[in-house]
Amino acid sequence: MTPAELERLYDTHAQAVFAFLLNVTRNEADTREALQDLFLKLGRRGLDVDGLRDERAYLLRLAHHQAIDAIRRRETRLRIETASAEPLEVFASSPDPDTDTFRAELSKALETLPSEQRSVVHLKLWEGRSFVDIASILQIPANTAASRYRYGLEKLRGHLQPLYDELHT
Amino acid sequence: MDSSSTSSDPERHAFEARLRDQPLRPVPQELRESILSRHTSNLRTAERRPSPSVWETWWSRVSSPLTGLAGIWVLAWLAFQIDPWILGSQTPSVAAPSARAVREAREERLALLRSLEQPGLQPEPEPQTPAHLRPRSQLRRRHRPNPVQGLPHLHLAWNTGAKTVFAREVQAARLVHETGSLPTSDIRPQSETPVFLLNA
Repeated sequence: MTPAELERLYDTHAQAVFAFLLNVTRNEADTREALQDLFLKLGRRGLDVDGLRDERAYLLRLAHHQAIDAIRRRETRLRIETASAEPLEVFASSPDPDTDTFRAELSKALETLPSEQRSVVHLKLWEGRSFVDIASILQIPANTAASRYRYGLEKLRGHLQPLYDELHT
Repeated sequence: MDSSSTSSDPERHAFEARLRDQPLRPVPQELRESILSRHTSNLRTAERRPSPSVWETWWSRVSSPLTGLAGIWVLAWLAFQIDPWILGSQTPSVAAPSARAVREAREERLALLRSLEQPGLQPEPEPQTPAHLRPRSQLRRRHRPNPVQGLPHLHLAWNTGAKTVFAREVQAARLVHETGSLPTSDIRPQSETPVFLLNA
């Protein structure tokens, strides 16, 4: 793949892939490493763009595999860095302190979800994917994707109950 | 399938919309520079590397199967060395006796025959284990059809009877050993039906 082709691919999809990796791995270093590996592999191997129905979905599937590998590698290591690490910033910072607080709480709530549920919730909410797409990306049945989303969303609602109530008062 | 996204629950819908509105963190700019420069560097390295010769291409294709075959051959050879039965041979391979061993064995047999021909020089009989001391598996048993086949309520009785018959055999074997002949009263027909079955 030529540098120009890789540049185009990166500029189009890197943001989405990065956010997905960050939300699934919940680790900045793993995310950076996985993103780099993914795009360098694509650069070496090339990508048959014409043969792809959905370029973004394909990249997200590759990113999911990278994230699973990163999580497995991390599980074999001591989890000291996770315990002592700074809170992970998944969302953009905001000048409004209330919004910032809500995003920080949401990030914490997402961390409590199992990575399988978090992947589905991320793809549904921030990628706007249908359950059929999500099933294809994560290689799971569509019903499983739907149920994981439902459980994940219920847990998020439980964790964010005070803010959720505030939203409706 | 996507009913959850268009849920009739307005609270849930609002909650989902609120979450969706939160923008995700942008990808760090330095990652872009790092990835693109590494890709360019990889391409340059690949260009500088000479293309493999015909021989190298051929060897890269052939070496792997050849290694596999060699490995299988070595394993088979080792297995044969350890135990020939592993490879399906039913009998162990026995080296053919040498001509000298054959000649010696023949001479030994001839010497034995000559000694037997001389009067008064009979070979001593080999000491035998008395029959009653031999393990049960070595005693000759007569095959008898089981007359209580299909009659479960008589199995226990038959087993008891069989043990009695066996005990008689042992006793007869002991008599043969001690007296050298079998009393005629102990010779019974081949198939014997226990008395209790005749009475039943």
